[in-house]
Amino acid sequence: MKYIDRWFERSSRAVARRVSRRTLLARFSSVLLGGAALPLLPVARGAESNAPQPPPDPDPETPEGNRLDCNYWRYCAIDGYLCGCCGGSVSSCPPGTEMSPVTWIGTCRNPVDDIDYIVSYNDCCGKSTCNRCFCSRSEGEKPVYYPAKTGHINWCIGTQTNVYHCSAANVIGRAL
Amino acid sequence: MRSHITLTTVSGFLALLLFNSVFAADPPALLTDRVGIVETLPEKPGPHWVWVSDMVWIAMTDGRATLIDADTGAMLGMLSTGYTFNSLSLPRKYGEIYSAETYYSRYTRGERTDVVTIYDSRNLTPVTEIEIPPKRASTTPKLSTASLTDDDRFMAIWNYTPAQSLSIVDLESREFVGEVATPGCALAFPSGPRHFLVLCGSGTVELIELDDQGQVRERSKSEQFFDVETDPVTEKGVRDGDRWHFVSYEGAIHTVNVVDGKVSFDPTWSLVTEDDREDSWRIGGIQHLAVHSANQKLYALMHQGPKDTHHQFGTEVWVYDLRDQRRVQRFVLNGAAASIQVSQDGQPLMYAVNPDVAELVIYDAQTGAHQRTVSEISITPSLLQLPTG
Repeated sequence: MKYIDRWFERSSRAVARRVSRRTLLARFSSVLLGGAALPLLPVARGAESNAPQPPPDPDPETPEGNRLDCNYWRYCAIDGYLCGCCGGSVSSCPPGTEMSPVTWIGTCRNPVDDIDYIVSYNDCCGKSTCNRCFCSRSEGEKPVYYPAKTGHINWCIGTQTNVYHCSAANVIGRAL
Repeated sequence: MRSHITLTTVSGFLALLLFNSVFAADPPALLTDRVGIVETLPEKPGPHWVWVSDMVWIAMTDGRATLIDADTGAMLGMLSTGYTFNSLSLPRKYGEIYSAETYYSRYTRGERTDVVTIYDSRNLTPVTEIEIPPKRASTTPKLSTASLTDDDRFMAIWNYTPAQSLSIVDLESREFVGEVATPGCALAFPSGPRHFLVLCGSGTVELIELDDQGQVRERSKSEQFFDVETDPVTEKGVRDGDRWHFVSYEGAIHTVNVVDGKVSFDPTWSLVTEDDREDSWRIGGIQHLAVHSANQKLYALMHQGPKDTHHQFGTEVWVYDLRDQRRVQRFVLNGAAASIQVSQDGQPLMYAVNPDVAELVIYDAQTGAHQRTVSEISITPSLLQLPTG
């Protein structure tokens, strides 16, 4: 063991005489970075490159980026009380309510990436009207005889009760 | 001195007795109120009675309809009409009021029961109820979600599950008699003794005729008369005898005639000129058309706004002569209105409500002059209906 210690000591001193500390750090760093760039595990690589990303949100200080503001970009065709103001969020229902599986949809342009997204407006059901943050924008909305494009139907359908509480806005895809 | 005091005292005492006997006699017998009186309405509705229907947007379990006499501004009575109420179904023959209603056994949960409740028109109490399948559509206020045939015999209630159909109720036998599938088509517009029109997403109407049992006797789909993608008609048409006038988002009037069970269409015409369009005038609101049939006047609720503002409330009412489709008047409203209605008598009044303001605003329908504002009417007043009979 003593022999090995002496060999490492001599080698290290020799390197130290030839190479500055900064150069050594730089070379060591490049080895680390190179290693990170290599595919370490196929599974990890797949997860990283296909990781779903939510659509970008504008600055939350602006109306288009504020999820509690009727001008928030996802609400382009909403018609109801915003669940984010009622104990839920832009895409979730308040406690004790039930999200309707049957919905109407809108196509909203995201002001950050300028892409049109399909937004499903799921009603949250089972309690009386939330009555906060009413928002009715109706862009592209059609009358009730064209149901998939109307917000003027209570979509608490397929739920335990038909009693409407509020509306959430879920991004479900990019428009073609 | 002592006798003087005594004399004065006695005189005062006698004067007091005299005063009491003259001025403080026992009060007359009191006629007390008879406790327990409940009012009853007159046998016939007044010429300016109007029902204000309200789904109560802010607490939809508490639907209601309020009856007002617009001549006096008096509230005459109210019906409590359950969850997700839309509008009343008023027969031509006065005496009963029909209302399609939904109830949950635990208010917002529990077992759902849908019924047609039959109310007595004079005492506004439920006479009976007819159970219907628990799937009547829950939608924003519109007048055609439940309608009567012109002979008052059958009632059609629009269902949405999201499959669309009509539940048919026989009001004579007081029973649900069947369901008519209406795939792709919504609502029910009365169009004859036993006929309903339904409005379809393909830009057509379908005419459905019932037989004596309330079953479909005949049905036929029309040609396409509007394009739902480019300029759809709103589902807020107004009836004018044998005709239904529908207006499109861009202001085109599409008139559907139903005569002897046959559907035909008049040439379309526009509510707005090019100048109006440049100034962004368009139709909007909840009940945005009204007709005075005898005078052949069409009333349209207008606002200035961009595309897709078909729900925005109106600031003006534009009046058209239906005989030559010419605009004859513009009324500037006292505050925005979501719904308008016009009485059908010789001295017609125009009624207006706005769900954001619990008021009924009354105008002279011939001049547009403001007559009266009735405050504290309902909660979120939405639709206006005229008693018939």
